[in-house]
Amino acid sequence: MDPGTGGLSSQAPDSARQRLHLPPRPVEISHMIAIRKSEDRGFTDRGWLQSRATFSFGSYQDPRFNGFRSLRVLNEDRIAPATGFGPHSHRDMEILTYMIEGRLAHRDSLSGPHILGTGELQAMTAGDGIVHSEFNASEAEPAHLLQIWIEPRAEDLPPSYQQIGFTGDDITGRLHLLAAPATADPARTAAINQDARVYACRVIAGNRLTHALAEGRHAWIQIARGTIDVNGASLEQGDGAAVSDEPAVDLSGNGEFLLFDLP
Amino acid sequence: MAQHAVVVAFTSRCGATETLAHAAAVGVVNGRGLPRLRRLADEGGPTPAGCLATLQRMQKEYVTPTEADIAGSPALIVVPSAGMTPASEVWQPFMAMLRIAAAAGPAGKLGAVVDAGDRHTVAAFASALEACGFTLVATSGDPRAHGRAVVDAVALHSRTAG
Repeated sequence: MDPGTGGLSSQAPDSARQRLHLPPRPVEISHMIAIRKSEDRGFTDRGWLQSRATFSFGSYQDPRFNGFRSLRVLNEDRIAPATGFGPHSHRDMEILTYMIEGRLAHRDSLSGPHILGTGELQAMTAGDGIVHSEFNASEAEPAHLLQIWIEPRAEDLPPSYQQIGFTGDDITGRLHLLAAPATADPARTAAINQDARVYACRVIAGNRLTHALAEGRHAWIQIARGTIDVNGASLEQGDGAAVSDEPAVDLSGNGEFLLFDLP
Repeated sequence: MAQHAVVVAFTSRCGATETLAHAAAVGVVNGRGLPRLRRLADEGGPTPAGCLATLQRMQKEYVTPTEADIAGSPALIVVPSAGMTPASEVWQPFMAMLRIAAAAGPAGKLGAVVDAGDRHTVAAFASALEACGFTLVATSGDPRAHGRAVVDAVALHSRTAG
């Protein structure tokens, strides 16, 4: 099995398709969409942390789901008030944190402290080495976030830290570019070291959006809130979908999602 | 290739030595090792003026070193605050743990001391580590270079031993 697609194969036989939650063939919307249901993700409960891993991570390992293209980790974390991850290290990974609710206090060996809140994205290049900590900045409210790891284009890059902000208007009814290989506006779009583009979008009933996929490009859609239709397949909060060999992704519904356009 | 764990043990009340420990840890990562940052428990004493918030943060963020940390790591970097000695109240329990580990386990672990601005402190901890069976990694330069040198030495030792 191609480890680069993490086992999300559109060519799987019927039994495998059921296991992978692909639509049954008679009503299949598309051969090229594979759905990863929220409840099938890896689950870790440490008391202070509840984490659902779309792809293999830590103690959750499933060789069928080792990532999708350069998207290696996609964890949905809920961190209890005043708790978090103590100082630890990373290397050779682009690490994005998208806040769904709450605030996160971040410190690292480059700079800080930083407070990350709803409407913000943190993009950290681990490069040849970084040490950081992440704690829920609130003493009362949980922090709810997506942590995303994207494999970089090269090893041993210089570490860096970026934090960008966006408003509800920025992402409502349109795909707002959060991260890309190059940016003309570093306050609004983070530069990452991979030929990947990350968009955020909030759709409300009546919105219908189309994201064109260039030849050879792939998309992952992760639902942060609500219900979103992806090329006719209905995805709920926490669900994800891999899209390959499609000219476009059609999106509608009522909710918020991230779209990764990947090589 | 196996990732070598390196314990980075430090004391800090106002964050200055913590910064040195982070730099040493980054050096370990540069060398493709896995640093385990451990802050020694505070042993009383007044909190320096202006340091309360930093001290409380560090008390929340770090765990203290354990025997399992030492047993599971082929190398140790200590980062003592300037003016401290292995006999300082905050370091005594840790040094006792190292002596017990040395008596119980095989020799040959590597060690280094990061200079926080006091040569006497470095010399005292270097002697203490040697007395506990550690082979000191000779380094010069900044804490990051210490971290890198230690993990490089561990990797070399691992290759030549195996």
